[in-house]
Amino acid sequence: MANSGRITTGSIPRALQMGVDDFVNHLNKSYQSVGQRLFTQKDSHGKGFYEAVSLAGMGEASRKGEGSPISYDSLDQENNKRWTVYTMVKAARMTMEAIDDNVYQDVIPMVAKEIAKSLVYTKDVKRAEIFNNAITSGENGPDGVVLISTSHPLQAGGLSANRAATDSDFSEDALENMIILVDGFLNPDGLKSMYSSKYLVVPSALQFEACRVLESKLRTGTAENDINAINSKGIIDDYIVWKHLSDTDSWFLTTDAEDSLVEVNRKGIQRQEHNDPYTFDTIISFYERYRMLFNDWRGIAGSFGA
Amino acid sequence: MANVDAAYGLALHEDNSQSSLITCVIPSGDGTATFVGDAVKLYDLDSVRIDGGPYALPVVQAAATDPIFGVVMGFNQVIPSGMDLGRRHRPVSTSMYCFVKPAHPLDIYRIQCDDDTETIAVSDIGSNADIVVGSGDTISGMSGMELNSDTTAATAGLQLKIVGFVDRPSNQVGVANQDVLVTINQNQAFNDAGVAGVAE
Repeated sequence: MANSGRITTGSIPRALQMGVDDFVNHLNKSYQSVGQRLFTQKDSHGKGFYEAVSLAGMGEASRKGEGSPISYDSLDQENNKRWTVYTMVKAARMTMEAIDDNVYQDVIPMVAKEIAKSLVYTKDVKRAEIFNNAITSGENGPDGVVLISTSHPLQAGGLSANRAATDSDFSEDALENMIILVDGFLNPDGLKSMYSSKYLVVPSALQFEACRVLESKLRTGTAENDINAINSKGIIDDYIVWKHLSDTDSWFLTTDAEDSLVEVNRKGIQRQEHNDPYTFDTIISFYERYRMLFNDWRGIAGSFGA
Repeated sequence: MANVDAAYGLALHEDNSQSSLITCVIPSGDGTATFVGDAVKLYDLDSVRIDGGPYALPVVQAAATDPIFGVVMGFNQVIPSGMDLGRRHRPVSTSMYCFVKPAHPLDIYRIQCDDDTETIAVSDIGSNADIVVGSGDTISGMSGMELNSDTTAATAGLQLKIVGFVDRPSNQVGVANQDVLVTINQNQAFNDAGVAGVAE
């Protein structure tokens, strides 16, 4: 990463002479996009931005008294937010000498592979940013509140929470409480949402505890033979270990709300390659355009540790 | 989240000038090791030819406050004696060609801030600052230069102008060792004296 803007013969000088047995390029285990499962793929429909409008539906029905008039309800716009699409780039410029004099390999495909790796990696970091900034002041969603909050305003009035009043370290009890919290999500119209818990998302530091809590048939950490209710009921589809979560004791529970965590893809990876006639340099550039965002907080609940 | 403290000198971020590299020479009379990403200045040393190469412009590593001629993009390690293709830098007192991106006011570089006693903030965009020369890395060949965060001011006679922050997920703005975007303000080819910036 921290390199000069040109690849010259001085960039990999050992490639200029025979005798090297191996170049360790760290590409044999390419990066997997862990967060892709968590985000719904969307299109910005040819625009440089993405905009979603949250609708507040109708509340509970009311009983009509004999001879009394009927009452009306309405369908309203709760909020909307416009998100600008980002353009992410990575490029390399190689001198003709650096390409010609490399006695081992064709530099161009190697550089292209490195650039592609970089873009895939960065895209997943951008996904994780949504989680890492979930309580960062100013990183607000359409409702004017951060993603994970104890006080999301509702169009129908009142508040709903996707964060417990007091954060807890990850444990079986804490996960049960968060599942209950998700069950209590309110829709903009004030009705209880029907969203269900789906994935447990944890940083590397919590992967073993997450495995025990989800996979154990009996309750973890107790001498009793009570069943592990979370496992027994099959509430959580799977747990996802995500290296890009920056806080080692934060953990999240996503739901099946499809329009919540969104990955807007404006343009997939585009590759361009050309030669500079003045220097004979070869320039390879890749770009892609996307934006990670959240339309609705109901796609996730979280805790940032005790 | 803390930023990683890893100086790398000046790295070309936006090649807006689209200018070519210039082959320069660092004569053996210069006793300072030089690294990829180091800012260099023209210097009063006799040029030398290496292995029948050209008499190139002599440069040496720029010190803090020196107007800058360009930034080292790489070294030609293929020299008749002392050739060591396992390194990427120029050792002390070794005549060696280097590929220099000439300083141009349009080009934008990224550089790590030292943020030792003062941390660069958003309000510093537009102000000028000097570099601080640290020890380069003889393993990776990378420069140890950083932006000296204590020196930010509107003063014209400062080497760099801060024009923004590197927009990368892992770069935390306002946190120590952040990466900033700069242009070269005191430029030996265009404007030795530099241009005043805005107050920090």
